Amino acid sequence: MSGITWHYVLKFIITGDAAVGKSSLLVRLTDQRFLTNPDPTLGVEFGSKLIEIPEEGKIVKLQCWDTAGTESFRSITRSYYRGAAGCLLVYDVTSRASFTNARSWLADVREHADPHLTCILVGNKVDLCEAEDGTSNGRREVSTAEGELWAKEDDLLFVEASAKSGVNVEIAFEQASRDILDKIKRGVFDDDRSPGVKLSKPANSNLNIDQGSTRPTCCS
Amino acid sequence: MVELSSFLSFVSDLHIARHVDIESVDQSKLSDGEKYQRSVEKARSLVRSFEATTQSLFDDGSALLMTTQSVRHLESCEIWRGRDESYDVLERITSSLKINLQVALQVLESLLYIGQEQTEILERDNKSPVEWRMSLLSLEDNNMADALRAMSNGSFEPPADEADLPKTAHQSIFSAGAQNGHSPVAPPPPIPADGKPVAYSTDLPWDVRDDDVLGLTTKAPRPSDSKIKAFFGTDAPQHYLETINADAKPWYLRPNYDSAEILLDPDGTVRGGTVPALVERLTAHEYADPKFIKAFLMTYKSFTNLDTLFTLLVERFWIQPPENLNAAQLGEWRKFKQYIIRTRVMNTVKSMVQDTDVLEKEDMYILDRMQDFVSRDEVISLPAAKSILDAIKRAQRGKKMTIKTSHQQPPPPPIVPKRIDLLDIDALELARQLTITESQLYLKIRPIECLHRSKQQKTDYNDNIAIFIRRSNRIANWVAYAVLCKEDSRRRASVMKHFINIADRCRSLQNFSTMLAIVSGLNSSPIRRLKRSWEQVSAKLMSQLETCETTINSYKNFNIYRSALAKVSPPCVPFIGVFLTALTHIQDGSKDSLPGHLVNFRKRQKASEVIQDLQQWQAQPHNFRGLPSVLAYIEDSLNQFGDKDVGDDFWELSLAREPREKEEEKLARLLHESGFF
Repeated sequence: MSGITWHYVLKFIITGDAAVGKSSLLVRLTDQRFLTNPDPTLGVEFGSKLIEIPEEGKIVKLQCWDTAGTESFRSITRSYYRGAAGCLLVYDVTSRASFTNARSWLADVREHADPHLTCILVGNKVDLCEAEDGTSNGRREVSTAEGELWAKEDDLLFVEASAKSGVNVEIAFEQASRDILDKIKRGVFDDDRSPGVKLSKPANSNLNIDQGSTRPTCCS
Repeated sequence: MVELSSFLSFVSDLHIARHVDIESVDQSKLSDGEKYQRSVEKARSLVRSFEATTQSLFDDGSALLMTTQSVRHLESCEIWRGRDESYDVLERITSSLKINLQVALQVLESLLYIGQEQTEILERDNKSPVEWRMSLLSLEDNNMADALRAMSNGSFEPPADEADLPKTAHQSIFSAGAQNGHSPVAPPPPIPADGKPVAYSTDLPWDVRDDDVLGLTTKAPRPSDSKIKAFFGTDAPQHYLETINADAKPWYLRPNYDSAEILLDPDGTVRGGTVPALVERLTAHEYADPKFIKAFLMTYKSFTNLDTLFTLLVERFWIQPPENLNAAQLGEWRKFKQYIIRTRVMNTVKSMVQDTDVLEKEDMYILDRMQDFVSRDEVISLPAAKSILDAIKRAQRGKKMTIKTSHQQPPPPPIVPKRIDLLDIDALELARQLTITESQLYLKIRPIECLHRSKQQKTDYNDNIAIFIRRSNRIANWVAYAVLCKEDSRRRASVMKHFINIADRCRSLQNFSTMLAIVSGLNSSPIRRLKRSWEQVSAKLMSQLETCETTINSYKNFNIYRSALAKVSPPCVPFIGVFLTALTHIQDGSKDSLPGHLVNFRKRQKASEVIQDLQQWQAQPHNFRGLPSVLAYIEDSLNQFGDKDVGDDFWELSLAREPREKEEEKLARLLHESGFF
């Protein structure tokens, strides 16, 4: 393979309460090594990942902006929203509070991010629901149906996942990417102007894209 | 210092392998074979303890160097952190150095003796495979005899399985052996197995000196590991730290824990262990590991509690000799194990009392237990006890060891504003006044708060970190409101320009924290959408803003910011979000314990490294003269919204200031504004 190529660069933000496992999802998606040897100073590629969407024949590069640890810097995390094409809105299925708070995170995203942004609601930590005695719903506080319902009402994609086991993690990102690609096809995003989507130049000049301005111009 | 370093380099140059034989020989060739064998074994164990001691010397030496530098640094900047502490650290390191030097001296003397003994044996025996030549040069002070025993003929024969190794590999291995400070003493030249003379050993550069031996070893064409192992036995250089646990030491001088209780990485750092084993490591007699001690004392609360720690320390102090030791062994045990362990226990207690970072307010109850312990007859007689007792008493009276010292350089003269109004206060001065408070709040952040955050994540903290973050959010709100409250777009633009300038000055003052707060205020969506205002901001200022934004771009784990910060010298107020994210990653990325009920110490080590990063910027705060009127103005401005989420209000206000308009409306407005209508 002569270098890594991709068709689109999509900026993703991952948001939600502290402790719902945002960075674990990202870790699971992007850098498995991190799990055995967490080194905050290494892994400069930490946070990006190539995903293939075969039916579109496209490869997209995800650039994920992690807000873990800085949730209470509201003003700063909000500034990360600008220019995002996708958002993973994460709650913890064993914590009702995190589900309730997800609504205010969504409001935050809707207000500060691109109106066309694709948002996927992720119920994380389903691994904790398979209780030790084999019965399901061990520590679950938010049912799947409840999550689904809200997602439908607010026009969100929805998936339940586990960063720990890896279940549905990649699928969550894939679903969101697929939705964004679909919007691109329908012309919702303008390739040149819409901030969170950058079209790769054909052939081999991809490096320039990556190094090009990661900062979009103003939205709204 | 200089003496120490020359001693160390001298020791590094000592080629013990050339003086003393620590490899077994074919006993049948020697009449006194058995005796020789005994002395060889003795020498071997001595060499190993010498290695350990030398290692400690290096550790202590580097710690001493670091501390001396920081003391000098402190003296030149005269800052609040008391110099006394550093002097205590120095004192501690020096005493440790003394002990280690004594041990080194004793070991070297014994080695010399054994060397002579061996030589005698060899010389008495005509069948001696090697004609040893020895010249004793000097033995004075700490300087050991530089006995030189050159090989006069090439009668060495490598062991059969080594004979086909590339010569370069041999050379590097031998040079590793020839160098004693950085790597272990390697076995001496291979002893003939069959007495067949081989010429090649004369080619060997026996005078290879302090080259970077490990580097050489890696560069040299390498025989298979198994061969290296066969050659070195269990003492292959890359594992030299394992010699701490090695079987080589007399059994009564080995560590107490067994290998299942502690896990070491190849570089000798602790990966994990049981709590007692970690405490043993903390007070190890083999060598001191300042990095480990620092990380341990910073993070112990995440895997044990203060009472358990102190109990284990006291138990460690009262360590009992194993049974069945004869008088000589007991003497050795007392000197090489018990005494050092006790000194290290005392040092640890002293650190706990004196380092401002270890004991929190709620931990002060332990001082009574400490006092009881140190006052015991057997303890109080130790040299360090008195000063520890004093420190305990000081701490009980609630006196911190910190001494506030004044800055050596006077603060720059402030630019006093004529009127207290946002645009009338010079951007640089406003940046300075913002920095004064930001810097003070940053100094208050304690390691334990960081540790709590990495240990459990919750949203309702009310610690110094929370206060710091709140201020950051308030600054962003202030910036946004100061823009929005102006009805005229030109005046909004003036405020924007002013804040871009302030952010830029914060950047040059290295107050990245406030810089980012201002920038995120300007970047909040109610402000960003004010196109008519932004149009009136010059390209130059826009590029200044962009520079600020790029500085703190969170992409790729704040890559740009990290490398920028690496080039910064204090004073600086960094953006703490980076540290908090790192701590979260460490917490989420690995488990608290390892299989076998071991504490995952590497995780704690990583967390402590992040916390130390944060702390390094606390050592030297910014030095500006506060202008009470400006400080009061800032406080008022920041308090006007409290911690209320004003996002919606600001959004409404923003829409009121610059209503959404369609293209034709915009055209009409532009024409109107330019006077066509």
